[in-house]
Amino acid sequence: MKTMNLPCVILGSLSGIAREIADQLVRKGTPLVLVARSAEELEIQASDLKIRYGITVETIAADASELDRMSSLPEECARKLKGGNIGCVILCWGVMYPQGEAEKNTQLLKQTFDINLTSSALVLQAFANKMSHAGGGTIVGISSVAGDRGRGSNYLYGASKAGLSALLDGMRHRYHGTGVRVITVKPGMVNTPMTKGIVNPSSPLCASPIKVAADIVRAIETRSVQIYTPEYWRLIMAVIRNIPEQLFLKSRL
Amino acid sequence: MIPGIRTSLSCWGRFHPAECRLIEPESRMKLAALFCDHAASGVIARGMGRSYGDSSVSGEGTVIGQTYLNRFLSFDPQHGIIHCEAGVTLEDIIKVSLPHGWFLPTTPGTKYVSVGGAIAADVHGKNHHVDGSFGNWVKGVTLILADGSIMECSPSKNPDVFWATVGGMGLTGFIRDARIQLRRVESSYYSVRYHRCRNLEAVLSMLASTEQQYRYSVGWIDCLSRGSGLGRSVLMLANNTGARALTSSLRSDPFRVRASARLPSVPFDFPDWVLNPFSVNLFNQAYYFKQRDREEIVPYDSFFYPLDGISSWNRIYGKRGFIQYQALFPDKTAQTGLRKILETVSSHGAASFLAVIKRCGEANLAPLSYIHRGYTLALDIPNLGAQLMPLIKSLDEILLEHQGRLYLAKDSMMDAKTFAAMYPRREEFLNIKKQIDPECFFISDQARRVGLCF
Repeated sequence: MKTMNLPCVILGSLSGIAREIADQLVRKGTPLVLVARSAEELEIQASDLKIRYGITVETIAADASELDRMSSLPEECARKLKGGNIGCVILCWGVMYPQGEAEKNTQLLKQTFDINLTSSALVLQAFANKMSHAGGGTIVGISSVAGDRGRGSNYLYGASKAGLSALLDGMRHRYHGTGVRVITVKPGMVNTPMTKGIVNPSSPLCASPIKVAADIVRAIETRSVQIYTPEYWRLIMAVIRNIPEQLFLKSRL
Repeated sequence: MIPGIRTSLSCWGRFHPAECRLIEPESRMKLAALFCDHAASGVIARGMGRSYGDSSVSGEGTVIGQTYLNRFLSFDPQHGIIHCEAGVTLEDIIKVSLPHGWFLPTTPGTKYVSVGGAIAADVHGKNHHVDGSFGNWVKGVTLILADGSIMECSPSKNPDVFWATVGGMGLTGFIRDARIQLRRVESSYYSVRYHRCRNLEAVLSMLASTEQQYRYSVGWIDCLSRGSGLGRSVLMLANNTGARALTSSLRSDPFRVRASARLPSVPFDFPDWVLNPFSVNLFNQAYYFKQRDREEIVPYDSFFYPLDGISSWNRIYGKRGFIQYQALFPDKTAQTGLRKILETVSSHGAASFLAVIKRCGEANLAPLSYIHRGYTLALDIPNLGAQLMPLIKSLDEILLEHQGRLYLAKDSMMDAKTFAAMYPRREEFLNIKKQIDPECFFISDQARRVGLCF
């Protein structure tokens, strides 16, 4: 509960899920620092939140592909907060290209790992260092069910998310007992701009970003360490992980 | 090429599904890129999809969804001016403005419409006879033209394009954002007088004689009553409730925004036989006799948006879908015209579950704006299959004989000849469109059907 009164940093605040998280946190009165690529869009997002809920948020325009800048982002956030403690950081940025395109286009393949894994490791480690120094904080990473088992239909994205999941698991282990809490979030299919044209929004398994954001906010408020959202993906992925390899190879997942 | 998804889209009446490429840009940059995309053609914007026919679908074309372009840009609580992107809904505006004592200048019977759609259809409400339509309250719009350039327009700046955009069904350009003048209110409640009228003559004279006295008026009309009771109605006449007239419990929070009281949604398509002349007649009898002449103070939601509580109410018409027929007659022909429409509908056994009659005031400057002085009658007609077309044709003929016209936001079946006869300023509109959109980049299935293209 306490986390919600301290400022929260949202990395990639313009993503479909992050927009909803920002909305829901602002309504709870959580001070926010929004980080995203486009200064123009950030300004619109800030004015929208101000008008809807009467709360002013801080913004920082930064691109996840500026890898050199990642380790200094926690300091930039702290400066925006006039040196105040950061209660929580939520990593929401990520890219997903159709598997077929990423196989042929090395730029897209490289970007998948740069954004989803390298920049995430750089920025989250920097936040972890700062938070453990300050004596506490919550780190939330949005990974994916796609990281639970490499599948032919989406393994490049899946591999980058598997790396992110391992990073978050290890971080949780490393900082256990220091006051730094790490939460792994594994959404299934979600109807967002990122998944447009890849995920079928009318599938009964496809969730709304509002639902996923609510699950994430609840995970921060409770003692969760790893969530699947919607929850039924825990079961689906348990089955998929346990299909024997010989049988799995014959499937089209 | 910008990724889009191929999908079948239709509007609220679920009558004309079409295969479209749907794109929902989440930023200004992505939106701008659409206009440089050579694969994009036959483009139309889509807000909440609450027009009834095919205004926001474009078969084999591109539909730009406003799902993510729904952000507030500024709000001046001193003067009640709101500036927002076109995907913002009227519900969003109420939530933001009502606590400051501001309400929509005019509103249709649902709050689930976008600002862009409200401008493009130049929607009207129960106060048209006093306040005119939505376009009268637009201070300015930012329009993205077919070539990707941005044009600011308002009643004083590029007024031709501004007024063509008001009521222009999205065919002049993409409405990116707009500034709206809101109305000061004293509370979020309305003092409603319920008055039963025994036939059409009584309805029309009551609506006309009370138009100075009540800002809001609307009549629920029983389409199945015949003979001397033809057109019998329950009128609702209302004004915003002054703070002093509120009971003390309401007065403590006079601008309360109601969390949408959600009744259960309609969970499945009703079988086609559920709504038939017999069941509708039963309902109408019960409703008419249940009403007494009385006065009540009611929250804005139940006065303006009685159907919003039931989500997907369009499913009561079943899979076949339904159409809305909204007819407008000038004062001098209203009585005979409305009488003939009601007689024709009931003689076809086309039970209309929801029928609404309203008083209309002066027209605005927009060449395609629907409303001018007179009376308008809106009917739901279930898709009767083969019988539907002849019924609609005969209704259209009655309208044409009596200098009446149809509302584009509700139209599903009008042909180009009928449209041209009903909208004499069509050429004027097309001339403006030719100047800013010479290749007809913006087009919808409706525009193709009624001839709002070249």
